[in-house]
Amino acid sequence: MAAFAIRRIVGAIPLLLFVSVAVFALLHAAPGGPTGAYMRRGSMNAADLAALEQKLGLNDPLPVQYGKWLGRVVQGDLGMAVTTKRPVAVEIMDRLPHTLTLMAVAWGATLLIAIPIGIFSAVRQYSKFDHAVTMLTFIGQSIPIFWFGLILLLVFYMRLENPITGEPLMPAGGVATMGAPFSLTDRIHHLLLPVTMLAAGWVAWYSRFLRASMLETIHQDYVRTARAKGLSERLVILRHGFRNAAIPLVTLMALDVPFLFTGALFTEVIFAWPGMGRLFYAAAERRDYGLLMAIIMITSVLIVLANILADMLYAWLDPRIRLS
Amino acid sequence: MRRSPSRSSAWHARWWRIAALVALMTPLLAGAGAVGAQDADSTPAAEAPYYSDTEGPPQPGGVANFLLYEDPDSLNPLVGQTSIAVQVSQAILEGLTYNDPDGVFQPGLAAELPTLENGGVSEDLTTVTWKLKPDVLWSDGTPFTSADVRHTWEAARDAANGSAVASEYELIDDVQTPDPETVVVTYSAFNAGYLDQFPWIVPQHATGAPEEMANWDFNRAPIGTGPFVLQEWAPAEYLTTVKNENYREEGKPYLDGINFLVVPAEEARTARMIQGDGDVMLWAGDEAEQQIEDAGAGMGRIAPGVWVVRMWFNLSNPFDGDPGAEPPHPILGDIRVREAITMAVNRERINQELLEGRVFDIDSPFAVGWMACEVEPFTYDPEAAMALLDEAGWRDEDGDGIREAHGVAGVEDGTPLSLMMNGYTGFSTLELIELAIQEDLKAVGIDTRLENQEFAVIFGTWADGSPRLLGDFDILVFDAGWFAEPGKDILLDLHPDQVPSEETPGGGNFTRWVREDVGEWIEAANSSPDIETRRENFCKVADAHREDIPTFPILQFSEGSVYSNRIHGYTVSTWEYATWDAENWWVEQA
Repeated sequence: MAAFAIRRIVGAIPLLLFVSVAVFALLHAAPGGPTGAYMRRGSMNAADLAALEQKLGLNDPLPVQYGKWLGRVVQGDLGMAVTTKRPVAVEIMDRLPHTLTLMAVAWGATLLIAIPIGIFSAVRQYSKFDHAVTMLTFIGQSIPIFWFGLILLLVFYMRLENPITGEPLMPAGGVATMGAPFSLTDRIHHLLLPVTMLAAGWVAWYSRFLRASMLETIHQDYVRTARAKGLSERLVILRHGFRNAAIPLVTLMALDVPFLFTGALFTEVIFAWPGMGRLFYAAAERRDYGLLMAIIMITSVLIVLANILADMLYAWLDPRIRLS
Repeated sequence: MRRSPSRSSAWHARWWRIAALVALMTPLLAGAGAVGAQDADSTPAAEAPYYSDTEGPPQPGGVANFLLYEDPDSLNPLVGQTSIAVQVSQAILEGLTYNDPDGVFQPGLAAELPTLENGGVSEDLTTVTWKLKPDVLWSDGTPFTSADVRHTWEAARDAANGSAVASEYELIDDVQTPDPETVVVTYSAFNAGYLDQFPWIVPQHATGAPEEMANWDFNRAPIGTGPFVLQEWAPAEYLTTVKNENYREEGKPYLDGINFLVVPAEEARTARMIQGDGDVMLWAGDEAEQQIEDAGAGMGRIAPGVWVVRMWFNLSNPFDGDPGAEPPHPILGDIRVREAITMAVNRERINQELLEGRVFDIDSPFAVGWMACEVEPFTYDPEAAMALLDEAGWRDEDGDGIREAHGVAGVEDGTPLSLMMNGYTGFSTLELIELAIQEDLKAVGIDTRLENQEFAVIFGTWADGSPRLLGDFDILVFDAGWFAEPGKDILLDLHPDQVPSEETPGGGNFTRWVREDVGEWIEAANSSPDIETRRENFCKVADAHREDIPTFPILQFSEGSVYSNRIHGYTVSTWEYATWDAENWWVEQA
């Protein structure tokens, strides 16, 4: 297994290099540059813009710029963000804890809800519960998440009040109450709406996936055998059915790990959550090459690692698969 | 008069907005707040085009919430800032001067404005002596002195320090500090913008070496002389400021603090305004403003903005590989065609119907600020436009609705009167204006092909091959603005030597309008400290500009935000940022 992992990781290096060249070229092929953020400001004239471009090294030939970037990155230096003039690593670390919190909680909530739903609706296929869940999941999958977020805001911030304090039932956004000391309940209070917004779509997706996978599994011969042995239905479903049905689910989860890092733009925008999605969006808008490259490359690395992890988990869960 | 479709927030791309879905939500939102009678007629100061809240007396205390749509990048204006960051900086930092809402310079940290009469400007115009206000303290209690002004110059003068404003300081030879309250600036040549020389002062004791400016901790934790002090900056969440206890004006600021909240979604900012969690919503869009006003939670307040939408006519031959002013444009080189275009475009329809009167009428880019030159107004007269085009040799003889050349010098007979019109993408208001222009021109037999390009293409540099610099366009439609001290920009935009070329890549005379007398007037205006002399010369340029029509002003956008009902004491200024008078703000206490 270790040998497999090492082989795959080493094998990924040329791929990542290729990705970095391609992304670097694409970013620079788009019109505009980091100085565009200042173009419309009266105080910055053409001479100052030119001087700034010179200082940022934007006038070097692209291969030279790429070489400099790569040289820094292999030494662990992600460079500076252009507009904020702060190290890219600091920019990312400002946002990462908030992103991980939001995404991990939403992910955890999704699994807690989706797994029982998926199992139950497969086991009771075509029951009223299954039909209801099917309909809800279709709604969850097709509802535009941006709109759903706005509706949550409308209902829980604008319409409903806390009967005791008279304040809006839910905060409009943010990570915590501004200026208040740390409080777990306050954090949870602020997490509820964005997590709901995120989880709505994910629950639908995961539960549908698990339902399909369960349906396939529970009609297998070995499940019938288990029943024939006289095992309790509970054991049949959980040990023989779910365990096998969960294998593709685990793979799916492993492949979703990079998204814990990239964040969720719409949710962050609506609920003013200071996450990675917004950082990336702002960087793209400002053509902040250093920041963009860092986020894209970290994501690429995570995707590669997640794939390796998924393969390894698959092999570990399913003894029929041999990695070598 | 109502506020404009805000250009700033509109071109701040909002691609995630799914218009139809949001529209679905509109009636819901509108009904969410208490709908009540509102005071729609709290009149602005008499005659003034800008809104000034005159409620009173001020009640000290309380905190105001100011809603931003994105996180500021840096709070040091010398290293360059996005337009959002300056809104925060201006509550914290000050300069030697500022502009009042009429565009007139007023002393800030300076005790008075240096002039020839008071001896502040030397007879040869190259030495400017500033007297500073005495007993001013930085927010940490350290005295503000002339050394801080010198330090600001040392940091700002060199792009290698990370300065984004270095060229503003290139005429300065030296800054001397004979005593703590006197600053003597020696110039190599007269700087007509000397009053605008130090719009920001940074503290020597709380920054660092000038060469290190790009990396100063100060950039994210500034110490200023302004009314508020930064307390905490949670990136992409909020910036809290508290009252500067050492502020130089007794009893001010009235507020205990201003919270700048970063709320990217316009719908979420609107919701906060309606729920009373926001007091200022910067550059609110029309829809948001309407919802807030309908809910009785606040009002949009405006002033004329600096941004003027104009049609820029290329007077030189385009697409010939030559950026120079000669030979003339085969069609637009004829003043009669340009004049006809101005008579064909119905600006009133654009301003009143299309943009619902949320913008200001304007006939000259020189009509604003302290110079306020009056020029002969443009009139809408399509009949006269057609007659002029006939006279110029552009007639529609084949009956296809588009005029062709018949005996136009340098144009083959039968060539259709067809022009390319370019704007930039991502700003729907601009697109509407272009479509209206296109329709109006069509009505008099002028065909225009509309092609909008990426913002960065239109406004790119010479090295990027920007069409406006290369002279490869017929008509451009975009908004441009001159600030309170426009001497340098006017020179760049209209001087005959500023036609962009390989040698002058930073030139701004895109239309290739070459008139030696205009150059002389601009130079005369820029070499006098006397405001009347300057105005006189700039107004001569304004008349010449009206006469030759290198550009045709369509409208002037407004500047402004939506303010809650409980905040008072503010004045919306054309020339400064929203927090320019934050020391006067106050909120009604519950």
